[in-house]
Amino acid sequence: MGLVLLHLRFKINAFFNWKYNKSGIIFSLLYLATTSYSLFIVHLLTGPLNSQISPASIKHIIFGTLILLTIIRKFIPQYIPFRKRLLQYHPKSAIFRHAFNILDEILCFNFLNAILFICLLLIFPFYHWKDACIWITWLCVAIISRRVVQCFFEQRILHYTRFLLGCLVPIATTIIMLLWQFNYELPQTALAVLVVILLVSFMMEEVVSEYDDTGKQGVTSEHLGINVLLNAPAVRVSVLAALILKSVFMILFTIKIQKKGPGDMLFIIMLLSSPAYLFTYCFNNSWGMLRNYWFTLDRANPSGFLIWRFQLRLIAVPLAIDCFITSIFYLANDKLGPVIIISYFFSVILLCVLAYYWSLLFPFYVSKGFSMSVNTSTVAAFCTIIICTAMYLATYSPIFYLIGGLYLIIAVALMKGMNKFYSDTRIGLYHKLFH
Amino acid sequence: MQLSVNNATKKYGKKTVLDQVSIDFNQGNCYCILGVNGAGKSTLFNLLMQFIMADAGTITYDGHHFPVLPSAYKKRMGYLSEPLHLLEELSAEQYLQFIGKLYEVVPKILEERKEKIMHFLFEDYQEVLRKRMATLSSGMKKKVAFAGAILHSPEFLLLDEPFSTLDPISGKKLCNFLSSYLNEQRTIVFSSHNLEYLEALNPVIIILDESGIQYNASLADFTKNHSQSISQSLMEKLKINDSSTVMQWD
Repeated sequence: MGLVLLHLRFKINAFFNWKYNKSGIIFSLLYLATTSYSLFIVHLLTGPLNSQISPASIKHIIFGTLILLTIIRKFIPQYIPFRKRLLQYHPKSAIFRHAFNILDEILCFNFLNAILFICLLLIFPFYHWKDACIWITWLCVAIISRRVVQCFFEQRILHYTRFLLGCLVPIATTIIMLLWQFNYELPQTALAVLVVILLVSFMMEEVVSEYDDTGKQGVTSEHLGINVLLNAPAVRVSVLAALILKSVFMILFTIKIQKKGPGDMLFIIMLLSSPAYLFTYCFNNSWGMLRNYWFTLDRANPSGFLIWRFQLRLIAVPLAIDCFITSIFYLANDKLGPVIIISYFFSVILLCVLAYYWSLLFPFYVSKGFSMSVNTSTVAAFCTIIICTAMYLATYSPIFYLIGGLYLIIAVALMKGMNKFYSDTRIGLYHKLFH
Repeated sequence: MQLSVNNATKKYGKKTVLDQVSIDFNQGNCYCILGVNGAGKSTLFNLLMQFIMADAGTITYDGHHFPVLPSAYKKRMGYLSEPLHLLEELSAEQYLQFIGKLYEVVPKILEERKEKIMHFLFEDYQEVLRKRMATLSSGMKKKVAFAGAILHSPEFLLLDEPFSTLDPISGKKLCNFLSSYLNEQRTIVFSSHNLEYLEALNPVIIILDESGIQYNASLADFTKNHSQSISQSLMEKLKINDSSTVMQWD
């Protein structure tokens, strides 16, 4: 608690020292809000209110606030550079710095962390404050492990440290699991987890090298999409993250469905089995990085269709894998009925067309602070929610198929409007870029 | 291809970069755009490629004005941009293949041209072709980008700073290539701060300064029938004294 308060004090300090950056102030405010919220949750779990509020209510509060904060955070697109600039306000002591970085990471309500929250809530439904503590410690482990995995994917860890991380993390995790399984004593588990956190975070902060240019990698495929996928780090990380998340969710849902049946989870299954992740990741995190392709294509042919064809070529392989994962999930859960797979394919068709529109709107990162124009993932997520909600509301009725047909008509109409939209938009994009 | 800029004005916010600029780029000629940094050279190139639109005035292509330049015209133009906007995830070979397909060059011709130009520009061209663009030096990237710009043998070649970052031998090669590339059907427009190559190319000199065209005449006129050096002539046209280019430092 003392560490959290100290962390809060430094954030307040950062806020008052950051006079000339509007985005920084907004970021600090959001940060203070998330910290206050975390303290409030801890107070709920450990204080006298614990007996008055049911665990289910607390769970709903966490879910609601989590979604809200994830959405708010999305409106600060240049979040990471700001966070890095905030580091100068952190204490100079190495141990405190590592601890602060962990707290920073936990309090960042980004999309991945939100997914981890939900996953862990599904795995560890807590009914007591001790359960909640276990949940929080596992959340810490999950978030830090995620960062390690991300570093691996981005090839930001030097070769010799990969070996160390590769050995130490599984060993430490096994020790924790053993402690937890055999002794089931919270202090020991918490201590072991703390050791892993400090160890991993120390190694990450100290040994992670500067962003390593991908120059050492070779060209591995003649297929342009696969080649970009393998050689552009941003695309590789984005697509891998999307597919891993999708697989995790599909496994979790399969376990749940095998035990209790689909029950009232149909909407969430429909939503999370849709290709939303892939589109979100591909177009938010990677298309901006590939703006040179946009320039090159536009230099030869000012046609919207050409850009779209290129994007489809780029997404073809990840989409095929995503389709394969969904098909396996569908085949493993025959209780679901055809609605999931039908909804999936209609979503794919519509999202493929929509992806053109929002990626063209935001083909590159705009460096100006507090710009909303890079929030393509929010657009993709909202589109998916609308597409799936309409299909879910009409499930088990003939209107379900009518909505599918309507989606096809919308997709065709949007395709017809592509070229005009592109002509109207491209000059504005260049103007923004060269201005 | 005949390209004409008619009274084009371009503003970025309150700053007027080009003001009522008119130039004719005639077939079979080579043009060199000179000017200090920020004079509007790249803006002019972007206008010609229709990446940006003029706030006033028009640009005509073979006498036609197009709100959106058709692909058929774009494919007759080649552009070496600055910055290069290369596809760094691809190898040099894949990049040239990609460009060739984009400009619909027949595969057999594409293969021949690719070999020919790369062999001319690089000593160890086969190794360069295999390398990823991200691993190449800036000069090598420039040469590969140049190869990409001329792969479809464009009628109208626009080169923004083609000689920057090139070593003297590569610069000379590029210069000789451009001399031989020019014919009655083709037009070359380039900007450069390296004046040493101008003599060999003998271009029409266009000086952009103070948002407008300050000078537009042949190289012979520019150097008063070669009685002055190019840099001397440039200083004179830009009204810059030699003394302002000298500074004492402790």
